[in-house]
Amino acid sequence: MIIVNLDVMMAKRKTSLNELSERVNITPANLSILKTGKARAIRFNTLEAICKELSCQPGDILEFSEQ
Amino acid sequence: MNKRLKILVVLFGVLYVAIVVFNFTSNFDDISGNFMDGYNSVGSEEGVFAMKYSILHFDVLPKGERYCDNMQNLKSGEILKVRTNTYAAKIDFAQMPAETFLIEMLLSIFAWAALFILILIPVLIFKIIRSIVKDDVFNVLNIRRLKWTGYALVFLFVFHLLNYLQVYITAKKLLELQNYEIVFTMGESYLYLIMGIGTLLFAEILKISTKIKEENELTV
Repeated sequence: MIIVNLDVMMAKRKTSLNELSERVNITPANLSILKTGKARAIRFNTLEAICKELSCQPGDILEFSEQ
Repeated sequence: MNKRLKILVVLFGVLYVAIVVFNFTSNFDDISGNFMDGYNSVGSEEGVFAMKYSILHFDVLPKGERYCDNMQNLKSGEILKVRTNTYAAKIDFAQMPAETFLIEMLLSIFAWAALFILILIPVLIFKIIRSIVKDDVFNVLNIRRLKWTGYALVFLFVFHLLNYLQVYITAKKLLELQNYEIVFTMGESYLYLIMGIGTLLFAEILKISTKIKEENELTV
């Protein structure tokens, strides 16, 4: 399964949910869905915008686990 | 809301009410007559419920010639060759064959469920229509309502089929007609089966659509 580590990256960058949602231009509700791991899919442009704002790689946000 | 969908929903609602009213008014004489027959047949012995007659509606096919009966046309006076597909016969209740008592008992129990279902189906359809009008088509409740409607229609098919079977067995056992042969048909009950399976199929399609919608909503 895919684990979302967005909360870890946000903590590392000391960014709040509302702040990041404004910067990547998606609603806080949608970002919360992503952060809590409820999302079923993520668009490339959303991933690109998040990586750009958090200055990280997609692998820093998404992680694959056997479980 | 989609205008075409709204028109279809309103049309469906009007048609449904029209069919129910038409069915009720066209069968009213039969229903009231049968009720009075039953009411009058109750035995006069104190505290004893003794049904005297049972009405059998059975299907027939001509034995030889296709138009095997004669009937006078009162307008022209000429004799017409006619035939019928169905008969209703008053049978002495005491003559009812023992083999059908089990089906009869089962039908008596099922009749209550059928009555409940006949009330349940319009309620479910009304709720589905209301949710469509409110633009809330894809939800778990609607899937459940459609499934229940489908199962209810399939149940009505089984109920009618048992009823036809019981009537067929009874009629075959008790009657031998001059020009007609008593046959087993499903009447119009197959319509319930088609509608029931169609509704269940539609429920499955709605289930898949709801899943897709959910996935779409959870795509960030």
